[in-house]
Amino acid sequence: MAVKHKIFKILRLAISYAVLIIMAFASIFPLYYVFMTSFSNAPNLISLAVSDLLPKHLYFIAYKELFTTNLYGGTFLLWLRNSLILASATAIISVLLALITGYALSRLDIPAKKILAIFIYIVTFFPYTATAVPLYLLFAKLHLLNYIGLILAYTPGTSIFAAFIAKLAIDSIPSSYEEIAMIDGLSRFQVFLRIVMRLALPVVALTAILGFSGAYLDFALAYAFLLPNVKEWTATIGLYYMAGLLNYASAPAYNIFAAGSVIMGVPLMALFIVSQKMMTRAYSNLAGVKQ
Amino acid sequence: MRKDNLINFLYILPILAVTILLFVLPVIYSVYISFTNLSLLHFLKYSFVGLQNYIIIFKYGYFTQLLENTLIWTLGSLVTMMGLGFALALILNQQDLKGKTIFYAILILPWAFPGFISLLVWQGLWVDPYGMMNRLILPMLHLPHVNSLTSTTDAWIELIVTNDWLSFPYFMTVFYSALQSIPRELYDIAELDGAGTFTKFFRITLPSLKRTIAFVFISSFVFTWNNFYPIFVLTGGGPGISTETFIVYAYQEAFDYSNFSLAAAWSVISTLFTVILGIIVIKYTHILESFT
Repeated sequence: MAVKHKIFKILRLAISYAVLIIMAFASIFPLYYVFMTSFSNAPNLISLAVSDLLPKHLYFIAYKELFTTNLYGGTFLLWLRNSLILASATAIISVLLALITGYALSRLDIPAKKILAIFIYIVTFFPYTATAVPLYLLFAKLHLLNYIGLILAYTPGTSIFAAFIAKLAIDSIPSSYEEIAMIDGLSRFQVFLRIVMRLALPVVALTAILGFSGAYLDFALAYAFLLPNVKEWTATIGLYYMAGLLNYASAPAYNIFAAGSVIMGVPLMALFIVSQKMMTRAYSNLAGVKQ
Repeated sequence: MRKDNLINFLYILPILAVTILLFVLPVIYSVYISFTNLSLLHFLKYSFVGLQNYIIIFKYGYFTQLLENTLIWTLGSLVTMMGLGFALALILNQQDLKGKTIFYAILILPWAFPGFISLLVWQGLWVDPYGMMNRLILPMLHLPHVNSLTSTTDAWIELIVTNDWLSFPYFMTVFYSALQSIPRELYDIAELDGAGTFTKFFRITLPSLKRTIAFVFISSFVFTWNNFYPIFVLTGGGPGISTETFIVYAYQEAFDYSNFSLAAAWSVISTLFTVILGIIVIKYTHILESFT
């Protein structure tokens, strides 16, 4: 019996480690591959050799060209700047909207609150890819096929989701803090700014990150709204073009695409890892895992 | 009191306003457009054509084909992703396993790296015959080439494998944290009673995770149903329309072929499905109860 038990244990651990090692390899490989491609001098997929994955030297030419060449009438730096403006504006507006709404849902007496909550919650089931066509049609009529239109379109998804998380966070702040401050002569709005926003800081950070990365990484709406004007492209449209998916014949060298992917992807990956704990907590609060 | 209520209402007015501007109005407008013949040919002088767009969708079999595709995509992805995530969570949750932190840190990388960029990279990996999947990985494993341009089965394999890669860390994380919240004493008591591994799994682990599994399945079902990028980037719905889903097809009709009225009709159908699924989520998960 004891021997059988021991064999079973060894077998169980051996299989576990084997699965983990295979999955770890699979997880890393595509990222390692794009990294190595960005440090190669291969202009296309055909010339990218298996030996480029274990290179003898690293070339920095792709990074140099990424930041200096004219791409399709625009430049990567210009697209990156556009993306950063869009993403920052979206993050700021999402934070304000999420906290105001979360505060209202948590603290205030509003007629038909439950129905309103259900109504706005259903919207979170629609990623903006799902509403891209109707949004495009309506915004074309309203002359909003520009950055303002994009910021408007990006904001609700993040801020509604975040508003519900904010509501749960604000629920846990004792309302006596605010009452005392209001007795001391602060208005409700001042209380909101000075006390609620400060105490709900983790939610503020999470919302800002979600809003920023949602807008920074969106392709579907930006592509629908901004495609005709190359100078207004975002970095994701730029990457799509550099990957050869927009117009294969005019696409730049493949290692430039890889360099662009690294430049765009790595900071966001770092941001994700930093915020992952917060995110998991928020998601599992929603999932009712910790109860 | 009533005046106070009205002032309070101002706090939720902004979110209501954007919700109506960005969701209700566009949907109403696209219902209207779906009864016209708006396209690049008839951009300014379009007219009412009644149900013509819907007749095209239902009469020529597009609807059943796309419904079938969307179900293959959603269930095929979901079953494999959840299975993989669950298996890895169980593996990581073993008491006597060493190096959990390192393995976990590596395994969440596909989730951490931006999905859209990963998809562009995967698109290059799958190119037949030059991509590294077909040149290096598949031959190494003695598996046949995958060519999504010619074979529908290959296209589904490519899509689902890539989607599994993108999403398994999310499921692994959720299941892992749920597993860790099961009290150890339950297992200790079961062991004293002489329960084996399988008994413990089916009597303790699975029942404890029932809620989490249900929540994850339902919410991910809606997410995957509406997941646009993998199909748009990897196969573009091809070969033909054999991997098109509702959401991808609507987008392509509008922005690749400028068939705006037909795209609007597809969007209306797709919206209806999402609302129905959304209501099911709200009903089954009771998610709104903690909010109101």
